[in-house]
Formats: sequence, C-alpha cells, structure tokens
Amino acid sequence: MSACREGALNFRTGTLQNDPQRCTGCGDCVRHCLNGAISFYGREYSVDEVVSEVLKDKPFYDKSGGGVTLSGGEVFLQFDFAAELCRRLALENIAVAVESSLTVSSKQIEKLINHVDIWLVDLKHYDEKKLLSGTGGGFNDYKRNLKQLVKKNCDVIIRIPVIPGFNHTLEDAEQFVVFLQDFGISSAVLLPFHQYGEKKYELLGKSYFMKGTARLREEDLAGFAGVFERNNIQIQIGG
Amino acid sequence: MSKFGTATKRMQNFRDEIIGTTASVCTERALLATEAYKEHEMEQTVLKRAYLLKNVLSKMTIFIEPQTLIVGNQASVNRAAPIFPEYAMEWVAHELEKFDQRDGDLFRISEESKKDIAAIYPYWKGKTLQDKAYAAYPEQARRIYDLGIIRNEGNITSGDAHLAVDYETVLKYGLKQYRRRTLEKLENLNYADYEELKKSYFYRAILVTIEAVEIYARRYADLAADLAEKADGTRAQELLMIADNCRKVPMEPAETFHEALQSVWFIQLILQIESNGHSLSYGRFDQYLLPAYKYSKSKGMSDAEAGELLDNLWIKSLTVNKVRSARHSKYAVGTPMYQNVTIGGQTVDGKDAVNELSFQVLYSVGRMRLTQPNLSVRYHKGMSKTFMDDCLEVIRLGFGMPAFNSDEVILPMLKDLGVSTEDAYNYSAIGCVEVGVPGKWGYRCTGMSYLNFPKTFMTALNDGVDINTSQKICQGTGHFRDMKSFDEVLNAWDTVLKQLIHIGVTLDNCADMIVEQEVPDVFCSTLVDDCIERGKHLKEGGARYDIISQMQVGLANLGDSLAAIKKFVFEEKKLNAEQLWEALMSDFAGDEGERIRQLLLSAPKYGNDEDYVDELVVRGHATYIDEIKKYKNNRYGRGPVGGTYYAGTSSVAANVPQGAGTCATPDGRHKGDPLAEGASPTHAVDRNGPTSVLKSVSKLDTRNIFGGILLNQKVNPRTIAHERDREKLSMLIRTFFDDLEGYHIQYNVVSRETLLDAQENPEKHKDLVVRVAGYSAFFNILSRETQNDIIARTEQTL
Repeated sequence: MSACREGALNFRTGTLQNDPQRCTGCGDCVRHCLNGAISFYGREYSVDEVVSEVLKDKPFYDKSGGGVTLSGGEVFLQFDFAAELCRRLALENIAVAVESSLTVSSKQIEKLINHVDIWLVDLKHYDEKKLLSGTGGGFNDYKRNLKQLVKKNCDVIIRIPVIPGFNHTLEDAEQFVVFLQDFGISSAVLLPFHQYGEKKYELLGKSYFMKGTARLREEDLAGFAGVFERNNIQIQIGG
Repeated sequence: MSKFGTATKRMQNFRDEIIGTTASVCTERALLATEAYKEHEMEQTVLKRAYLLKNVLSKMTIFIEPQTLIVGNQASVNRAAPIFPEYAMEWVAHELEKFDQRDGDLFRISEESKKDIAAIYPYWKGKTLQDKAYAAYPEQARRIYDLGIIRNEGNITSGDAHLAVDYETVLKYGLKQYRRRTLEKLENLNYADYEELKKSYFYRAILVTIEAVEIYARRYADLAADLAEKADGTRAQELLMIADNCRKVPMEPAETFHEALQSVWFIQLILQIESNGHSLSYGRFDQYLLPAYKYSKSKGMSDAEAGELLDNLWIKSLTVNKVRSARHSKYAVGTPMYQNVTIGGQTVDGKDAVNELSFQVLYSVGRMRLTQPNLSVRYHKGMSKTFMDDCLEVIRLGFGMPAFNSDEVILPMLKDLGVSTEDAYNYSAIGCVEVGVPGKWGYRCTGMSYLNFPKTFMTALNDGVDINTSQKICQGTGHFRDMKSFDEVLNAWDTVLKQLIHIGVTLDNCADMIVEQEVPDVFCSTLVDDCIERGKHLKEGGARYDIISQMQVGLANLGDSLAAIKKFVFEEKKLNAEQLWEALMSDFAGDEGERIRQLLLSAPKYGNDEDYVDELVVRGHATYIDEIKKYKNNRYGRGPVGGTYYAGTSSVAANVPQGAGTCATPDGRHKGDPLAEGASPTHAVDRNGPTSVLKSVSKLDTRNIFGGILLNQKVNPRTIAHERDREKLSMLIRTFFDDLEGYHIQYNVVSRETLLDAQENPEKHKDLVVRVAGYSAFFNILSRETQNDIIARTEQTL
C-alpha cells in the first residue's frame, strides 16, 4: 500500500481496494506487489504504434472491406487521440467505425465526421428520464448529434442493448420504433443482455446492480424484434 | 444437416456399423503371402511379388455386406488390418500379446491369429524389408536411428504408397488396355540384351497382377449372383447389378457412375492389399469421374442415387485398416490411411474446375463425417462464392475437412520443378498437405525420415553430443556456454543440422534400396506413367516425376528458441548462457528455474506477426531448405524428372512422441511436452488473433517449401455460428491465399468443452472426428497425450 504515492490503495473493506479517482495508473503498485495481487489491464500506445499495428492487417481489410473499430468506454473521452487516429487511418484507406454514446459536443462530431465510415450508436432508452436513471447521459446532446449524422447521410448503426427491467417490454419496443421513425432510421441491432460485465465490476471492486439477472438468449428477443419488423425496421440480433 | 441431405437408412446403418466395429488383426494375407513366397522362391522378386498378389486375391475371404452397392474387402472382416510379413515381422511377433493393450489404436487379436503369426515367423526372420534395411544402415547412421534422433521406421516396415494412380485411364480404357500395352512390350523384347531381359520379368509380373485383379473381380461377380438367388425383390436386382459391374470393371472401361465407382474402389482396395503403404490417394476425383457421372445423369440417375453411391464409397474407404508397431503408432495416431480425395482447382486453361460432382462429393463427405476420405479442396482466386460457402459449411461440421491447398502458389512451384503445364494443372493432394501429379508421380512426395528440429538444436548447443544419452553423434562447434555471439549459435545450428540431413538421406537411401530389391509393387507401378514404357517399376525410376521430401518436427520451437536466446542472452543480457543451460538441464527446477522459464516465455513467439522471431524461424529453416535441395534419391538419373529432394513442414502426429523424448528447450517448453506441429505456431503462444498467425506463416519461404506448409487452426463453433461470421472466415482464407501466398490451411471447429466431455464420456462421442495433423481421426481412439495436445491448441476467434 505504501508503494502508492497517490494514496489510492486502501484496505477499508478488508480486501485490497484501488480508488479509481486517485489512481493515476503509474503502475508502481504492480511492480512492488510480491504476490501478483494487482495487475494491469491494457497498455498505453502512441498513435504511431496503433497505426503500425493496424497496418499489419491491411491485406485482410483490403480483401474484405473491413477495418478498425474504436470502441470504449466512450471514445470521445480520449478525443484528441481518437481524432488523430481516425485521420491517419483514413489516409491509409482503412475504414473506421466509431462506437459512441453521442453524449458529446457537436463540434467534436463535426471534426470526426469526414474520417469515420460507420457510426455505432447505442440507443439505451427512448425516454429521457429513464435514460438519465440508467446511464446519467445527456439526451439532448444525443438527439442533436444523431440528427446531425443522419442529415449528413452518415452510415449509422443503431444498437439497442435489451436489458431486463429497463427497456425490454413490447411496449418499450413500440416506443423505440417511434423514436427511430422520427429520425428516419430503418434498421437497428438488438444486443441481448449478457453478464460479461459482472467479473469486471468485481475486479474493480464495484458493486454490480444487475447481479444475478439471467442473460438473454437470441430466441428470447423474437417477440421484441417482431415489433420492429412489423414496422419495417430491419433487425439484426447480436453483433 | 439439411443442406447436405440425409443419408439413406441403410447407409446410415452401414456407417454406424463400421464406426462401431473394433479394429482387429487379420492373418489371412500373411498366410497366403507366405505360401506364395515359398512356392515361388526361385523367381525374380517382381514375379514373386506378383504371385503373392495373385495368391491373396484368388484365395482370400470375400463377402458382400447387406447394405453395400460397392463391393470389395481388404481382410476377412471389416476394419481388420492385414499383416504384411514381407515388410516387417519382428515387431509383429514381439508385440503379439500387446495389440489390445495400447494407450491408443488398439487392435483385437485372436489366439488363433497369434498361432498363425508364430507359425510363419521363422520363415520370415531375416528376410523382411526391416531386417535387411536395418542391416544395410552404415554404422553412424544406425547409431542415430537407434538413438531416436532421426526415425524412419515407417519406411522400413511399410510399402511406400503416398501417390495417386491414373484412375482416368483405368476408367476410360480399362485394365485390358494395360494388358495389351504390356504384351506388346514383352513381345518385342530382345532377350539377348541384358537391360531388356531384366524388363521381361517386370512385364510378366504385370500380366500376373492384372490376371489377379481379373480373378478377384470375377469372384465378387459370382458371389453377388449367388446371393441374388437367395435375396428378394429389390436387393436381388441390386446384387445382379453388382454382379454385372464386377464382370465388367476394372477390366473394361466404365460407363455408368456405379461402374466407375466400383472400378475405382477395386483398384484403390487392391493397391492396399498389394502393399501396406498408406496415403494411397484418389487424386482429382471430381474430374476423372465426371464423364461417368454425366452419363448416368443423362440416363436418369437422381442426385439421391449418386449421393448414396458416394456415401457408400467413403464407408468402404473406412473399412480398410493398417496396424503399425506400438512405437510407430504414436507418430500416426488414430490409424490414419490418408486416402485423400481432391476436388476443385482449375482446368488447364485456368478456368474454375468445380462442377456438379464437386458439390456432390462435398455434400457426401459432409453427410458421412468420417475420417476417410481425407478431403482436400484446391483453392484458387476464381473459386465461386457458392462453392467456398459450401466448403465452409462442411468445415463448420467440425471434423476438420476440407483442407485447402492453394493453386496460386502450388502451380508455379510445380513448373519450377520441371513439371509440364498440363500435368501441373492436374495436381492433387496426396495423403495430407503434400501434392503430386496423379498417375505420374513416384512414391512419397513426402514421408521419408523424421528430423526433430529442437533436438537437433539442443545437440548443436551441446557440441554435437546428444543430451539424453551423452553420446557424441556429430561434429560440434563447441558448447553453448562458450559461445560469444548469436552468430555462433546460428553457426552451431547450421553445422549440426547439415550433418544430420546427411545421415537422414543415408537412412532414406538404405530404405529405398531394400524396397527396390525386395518389395517392389508391381500393380501400383502398372498404373503410373512411365513404368510400362520404360520397363521399370516405380522404385527403379519408372515414374515421370520423382521428387520427394522428409518430415520435420518442431519448426516453431526452433524459431522461438532462437529468439529467446538472441534477446535475453545476447542483446538484453538478462541471462547468461550458463544460467540458461542449467535451467534447461534441470527442466526449470526451483524458483530460479521457473523465473527463467517465465522470462523465456515472454520472448517474442512465432505466430504473432512479429518480425523479430518470424525472421529467425525463416533463418533457421533456410539451412534445411538450402541443404536438402542438394541431395538426390536413388532414382536420380534413372528416368524421372527430378530424382531429388525438396523441403516440407509435415510432421503428422510426431510432435507428441518426438516431444516426449526432447529435453527442455529455450522457448520455455518443459522436457517431454509436445513440440509444435507442422508449420503451426506453438500451442497457446499465438495470442494476437488469426490474422497474425496467417501473417507469420506467410513469412516462411513458401516458394521453396514444395512439400507443403501445414497450418492447423482451431476455432470454437460459436465463433462461426452466424452467416456473417462465416463470411469473415471466408475473407480470412481468401486473403491468406490471394495476398499472402498461403499454401494450405485447415480448421478444427470443435469446442474445448466437447473435447473434454469426450474424454470423460467416450461412449457418447463414438463418431467425434477431429483434425490431428494433415488428417482427421476418431477422437476416442487417440492416445490421451494426443487428445490433450489437441485440446491445448489455441482457440482462435474472428
């Protein structure tokens, strides 16, 4: 614990905890721990490093028309890095997809719009209050940015994470349809709720409020998807 | 399954029956062979061999299974492996009591059969290929063989095979044309000319074998006619049809699809009664059978009828079996016969050769999901999306087929080797990954002796002294502890490797010499150009092309070891040579040993698209590639184009037993652990995804590795459950072949859970087939070690 200059490590709950607010990710604790109790996930890359790593697979992208997806977390939280990376990849003729919640400034969207081929946009809820309760996200930013992307004829893929107790009723489906139709969007991807996050929360020492909720299978979403399809919105489940 | 249709009830039933049949040993051929040899002792070897075949085909038990439409059996019961005493008897006699007690590849043997073997053993003692080849080994070569550093047990206990014969001509003209050609040659010989006199025995022998085949087919015709009298309605009609077919083929040209398949099966089968060589391949099945297929279609044959006949042939192909010694079994686990069927590819004018029959074959193999045949698809840029998609559908079934070979790299290589354009376009896979021209290429386009790369490397670091036995086996360049630079390490590798290649070729030559003298295959030679023309059997240089290769094990371990040494000992100096050597000799004992092992594991590993290590793999391999090219086989200058060697990367399942005898290696591998197989990365170190594996493999000197770059990939079935994911797989494969000069790729689509469950509950997974190396096998009959090795392969996601 004393290895941490920021005082981010504590034993308050009886097990070793790391306070993410204080942690700077310097890695001193990992190097000092004799028992391997702390580990780092990920490593830092420069834009150059990422580009050269990506270029290794260029033949595959050229053949398939595939490319690179920036996802998160929220990509826009590292905006400068992301913007530079997108610009560089565009120069190499590599397609770029960006996954975002769109609760970001429109200036940033504007800056990226020419270098991004596909926007993967989560739609977690159609109702502002519910959205706020579930995500704390800004709905107005979201709607404004989405409108902007649609207006500019960007390739937008709407992804709806279907979560039990949050947005998974047939009624919800009807409302999603209305929302999409307002924007003139005619397809969406449904992502069935899964429990892959549980372990991550545990490792980060956070409580997981969906603990014990059963994952959804593809077939569980048949009725939900049917609502969209009846309204001429093309659906892909999982992706 | 619907895509591939459903097999008829009787074929399902036949299939399950054969899968459920325990392998056994049959002594009938051994007894008949002994009888023939004794009777014809005074004759020239080729004639003695021909009389042997005639005696066996005239007297062996024959039967017609109630479900079958295609007839012909290899031994007195299905799945029984005949004993071939002329090749080897020592191990047979010594392992008699242990056939049914092996860890994998069990064979039942009756008390009566044991007595049969004991009775003929004294006659064969000292007369077999194995006895004579072993005696012929020069002293140093024999020592290396005994130490297990280079193995060629397969070459001195079996016939050669590893080829495809000229089925096209057999179907078009029948064996009677071969008889006519041979008679013409024989009649025009000048016996006063020594060379021509010698040829006369070969021609006479050919005539005896053709007569033997004729007798054999007629026996089936008579049996079918007999059975027809006792059978009712439809079955009686079928038996009469079988009788008609057997009176006609293979002597006469085949007209109908049924006749053609019967003709092909007779030949395929008889070649596996003549000799116990494996990898006897069908060649370009969808091309030479197309005329008969079209003929029958025009006469009203339905897809279902064609499909049933194909299903039938694959089940028949599974009835043949081979027993190897317990030790040799570990190199070829799962009793593989490697009867390869090749489909797809291009016609000689560069057009897509895929036809209606190619799809039928693919679907039929997908329906049957057996270990035989071993299905290969010749990929080329112009392969249609429809066919590619269907191939992926079959791959998705999880039994490891089809494997892809790429025309894009293989065709230019064939031309470089001196093969004519027309012949090059007609190449097919032989056995596993390796290729040859059907009906024109001699034996063993691959499959001579095994060289263990990591063991060779460790010997090089140990001044030419074998680590397990402390015996000096060749000239070294000093000990690793005293090496001052990485160049000295490379120099040690080059020096020791070259000497071992020399010894490997010496062992090959001994094996070839004795096969030529003692056990030439007359019937097989008949069906390969230009044996009749030259009056020489295959081993004397009868083939039009004769270029061969050996097997190597552990290429990835070699490269990974070089990288770890270069980085940690010579560049970063995190270890000194003394420390590393001690850790290796103690198999990484203690905390310090484990610390060193972890460090070694952190070095760059082949399979991750890292130039640092990939270049060292290429560098290490280059010595082998350049050196082996300089050697000649015993047919050089005797007729064939070539007569030389080329490099390959095949290792079949030898990575497991060869690993068991290899000390800890500088890539961080523990003593006794399996080595890497083929050209695939070491299991579980390829962590950068499938594109990186393909990129690393593509850096190998493909154009100079004609023997094939065998790449095994494993994916979880979930990964390609969706159509869009299959599209990704298709793109991955196409990029590998079109843009990265890939030679070969094959997939195991089976989950870890399924394999673990099969280990626990074998009875639930009787027909689980997995890709082992360049072949597939029933998981249940593999040894535990090989099962574990397959489970340990890296599972790639897309």
